[in-house]
Amino acid sequence: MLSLRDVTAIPEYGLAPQGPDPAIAADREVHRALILSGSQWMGPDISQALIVSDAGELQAVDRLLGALAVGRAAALVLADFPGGDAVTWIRDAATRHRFPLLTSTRPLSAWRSGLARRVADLAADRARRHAATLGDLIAQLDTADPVGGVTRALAQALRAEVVLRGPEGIVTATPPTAPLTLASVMQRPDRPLQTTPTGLFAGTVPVGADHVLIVATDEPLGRADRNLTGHAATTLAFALAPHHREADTASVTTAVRGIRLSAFQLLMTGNATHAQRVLAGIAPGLLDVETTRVFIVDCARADREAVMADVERRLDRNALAVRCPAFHQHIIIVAPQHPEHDSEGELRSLRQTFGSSGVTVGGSPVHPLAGIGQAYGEAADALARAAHHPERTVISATRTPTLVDVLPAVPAHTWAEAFLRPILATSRSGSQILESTALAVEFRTSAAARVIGVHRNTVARRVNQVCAAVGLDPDRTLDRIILSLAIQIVSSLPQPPAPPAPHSPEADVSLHDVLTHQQVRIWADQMLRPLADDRRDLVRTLRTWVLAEFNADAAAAHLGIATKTVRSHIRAAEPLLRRDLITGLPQDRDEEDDDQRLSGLRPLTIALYATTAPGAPYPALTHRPRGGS
Amino acid sequence: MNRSALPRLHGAAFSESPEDAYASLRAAGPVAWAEIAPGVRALVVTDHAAARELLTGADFARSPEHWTPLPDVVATTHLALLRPGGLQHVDGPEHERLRGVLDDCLAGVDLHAVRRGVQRHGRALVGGFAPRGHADLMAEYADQVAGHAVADVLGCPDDHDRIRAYARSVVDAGPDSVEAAGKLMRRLREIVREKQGSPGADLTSRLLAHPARLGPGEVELLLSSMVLLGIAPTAAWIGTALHALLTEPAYAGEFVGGAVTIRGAMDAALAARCPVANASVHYARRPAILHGVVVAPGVPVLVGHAAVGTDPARPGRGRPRDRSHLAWSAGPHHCPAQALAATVAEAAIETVVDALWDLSTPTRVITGRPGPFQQCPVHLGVVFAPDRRDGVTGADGGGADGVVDTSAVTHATGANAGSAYAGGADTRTDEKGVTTGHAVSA
Repeated sequence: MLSLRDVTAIPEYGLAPQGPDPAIAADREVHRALILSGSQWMGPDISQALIVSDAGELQAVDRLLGALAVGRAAALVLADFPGGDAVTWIRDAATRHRFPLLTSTRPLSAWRSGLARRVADLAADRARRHAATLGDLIAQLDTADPVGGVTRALAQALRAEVVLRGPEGIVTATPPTAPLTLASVMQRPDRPLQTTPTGLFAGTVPVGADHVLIVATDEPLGRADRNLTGHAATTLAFALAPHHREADTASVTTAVRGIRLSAFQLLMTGNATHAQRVLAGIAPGLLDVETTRVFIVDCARADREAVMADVERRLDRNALAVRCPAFHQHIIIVAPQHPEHDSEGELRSLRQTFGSSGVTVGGSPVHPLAGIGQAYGEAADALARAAHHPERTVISATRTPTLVDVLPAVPAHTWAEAFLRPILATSRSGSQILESTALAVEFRTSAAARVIGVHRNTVARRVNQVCAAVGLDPDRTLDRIILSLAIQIVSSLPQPPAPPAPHSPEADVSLHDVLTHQQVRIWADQMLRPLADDRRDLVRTLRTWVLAEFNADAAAAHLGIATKTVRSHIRAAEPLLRRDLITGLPQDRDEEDDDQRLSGLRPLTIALYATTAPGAPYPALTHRPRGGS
Repeated sequence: MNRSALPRLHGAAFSESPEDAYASLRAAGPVAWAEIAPGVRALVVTDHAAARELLTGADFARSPEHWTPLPDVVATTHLALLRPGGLQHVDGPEHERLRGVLDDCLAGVDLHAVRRGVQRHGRALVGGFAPRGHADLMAEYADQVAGHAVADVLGCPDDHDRIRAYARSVVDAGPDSVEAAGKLMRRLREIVREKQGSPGADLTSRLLAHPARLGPGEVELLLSSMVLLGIAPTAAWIGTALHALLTEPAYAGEFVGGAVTIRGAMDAALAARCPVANASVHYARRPAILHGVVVAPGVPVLVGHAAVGTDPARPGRGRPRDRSHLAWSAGPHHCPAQALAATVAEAAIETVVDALWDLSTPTRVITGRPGPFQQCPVHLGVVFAPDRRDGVTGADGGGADGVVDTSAVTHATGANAGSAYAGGADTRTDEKGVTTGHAVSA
């Protein structure tokens, strides 16, 4: 929702439009900026991008502009133009192609080192604010005076004068003097664009059959603002309808759906406050809670829309249900904990309607609102188990004691904080970064990206940055295990009341100390005990497999048995441990593989670590294998 | 010798204008000191006669066991390409035996099938970006085609992406080169094991089945040479020759008229911009004299294939049928896969030029890729008229087998079509031919 006009107005970029027609061009949407030079190519996807280059480096400009237009780039920017006057032949070419051309007083090096990235940040920020404003408009429907509320909200968002006129005259106006300023416009409500005697730009939008909305601003409205005005008109039509609650229109439904998804994605990325604000409009108070649970419904053979309708009917306004943007058969439900509403019971009874279609439900235990990322992970785990469950429903009512619960709180926290210090200390949004990293390490990067609504390159970069900051290899499974463990500890174990003094012996805790703690050993023994029921020595195979960094071939060679046998032992262990192990392995850049989850490997590795016999080698969690750099 | 004054064969300045460094090396003599990585010095031969003497003589060894770098240098440099492994680092009778097997087996590669495979991959790749009207022909085409071609020859078509990425990291001599070299060797080991279990009609299986009965380790060593010295140089050759065809004023007119063949441009590229820039590392077994320069044992002596190609004193330079460049190296370690590389490069260039007839490059000067070992454009961004047809031919188009008629490369640009992908207009030499060569020395 960032337009070329908006970017041009920011002095930092030193931009000046050169043609063809600034007024038309100014409305184009800008999502990012890409560099085009002898050392950098713009890349395959150029849509909504500013292409920044140096006039001295360019040739074949005619053909280039043609390609930029086909790729729906936003504009070509010529860097380092002190006077802001483009080379004539480039400007002529831009005019021929009717493609926006700008000059920038800033050099290409400045764009490369930060300006380009800031364009993308700005665009993301605008999109979020736009969503929030849409939410505000729709929020007015629940107030005592929806018509006045929408008009006021629109006037405030656009800094505009707004009049709503009906067949019997003016319905409402903001500010109250607006009808005077806009008198001339109201004479001719059939003209969509007019200027007032005082020089305002006025637009008229029909509302329903017999109303008209008039909006006047200092500058002509950009695309995002027109979009907002259009939504306001739809909302007003809805509010003016005799029984507006029943007069459901498709566009309002779509808007509400979009807002719910944004709110969910904001929650997943740790922006709980933003999410509350966005959702305040359509579901006031829904997220004003401390704790929540997350459920995932796998619709299997049932139609997702049908299941969704039933879920919404059952949960009414007590939960936030969204269609999963990554997995097309999933519905994700964020169910805040209200004493008088039983979301769990309602979801359990989904099976009565859709039982024959293989619908399964997984639910997380109660989490604080800020920990939804983790709750989602646990719900996904539960969903995986639900497929093997007779009830087809697994809801972890209370947290079964997982590894994180049995870790000695103070040493574990001390270790994890120290380990993640490079991230927690340097970045203002350190904990948010960890939240999305945790998700990406746990699931495939691309699925995680879709769920939280961030581009997958961004997620991948974040994971790489985090790994680099703490000195881990993002491709190594054991390293991913360490990282996810540290993040879990920091985000779900309560902060110790009195952290040890910085240089005391207690402050110097290693992961080895944490993992060989008495409590962890007891937990590990319990976890591995079911394996004893098998007459084969599964523990030995698993241990060798983990020591070989999950390479079945290497494990087989070491044990002197066939690779096939190693795999069959691992598969035999899966039901006994109730965990997926083989499907949890990251396949080398294989995006098609559906489920790549650490959730099974992590506890197994740590349990084996904790139960390592004296003198035997430990899994290489706390040290690098020989030869590693 | 003042270390800071040594010409640098790494870093941004070298990537931008390698000829500057080569000019200083030439000025310092036929064999001169250069810095090939931060803190790593080596002798580099830039003189044609000296290079021939080194490559064909028996006084110097190829095995890196003769290298005696400072201990901290070994730990910190990313010159995985200098480390042991690969036929290019083997000497004497051992080399003769392995090279014989490799030559036998490479002779069995069906070059017609290779050509058809490259055309098929090439058309599919072009189909991916043709509707878009712009592409990076290095990353989206040349690298991919070369990776596919080598993977197909080795019999591991599904591995093309990873082995290409590993080879790229090693040749770039970046921070991950040592790790990539390790991953490549592990993967090659798996491939050899798979082929032992189920042989196919591929180079790997033929190497394993050769009567000389090579061990799996020896086959892995040969495969690593094929990957490391096969993929990146071939890709660079494709990219550089394409760049020359698109930007050299000499080609712009004549290519359309048929006076210049693709093969002619490819040969010119080998001399003017040899893809393997500095390689063929030798070590003196005992103190030796090379063209009047004393070489102490333990010092790497590199052949500057790129600098030799542009050596003004090189006999035959600039003549038609110029073959005295050492892009393919010379002596016992000369490239064993010349015909294969030329087949791949020629078919790749023909395919893309035929499919997208109005290519032009929107950036005047293109920087080179990093490190001392290669000479290759960092990208080859092109624009062209988008292909609006729905299904752009992926597999069996017309002319699947025959030589494709590539008769039209035109320039969309009128204003000064510059050339030379590295080095601005002021650093350009008087040469016409830009491009590449391919010096695999194994």
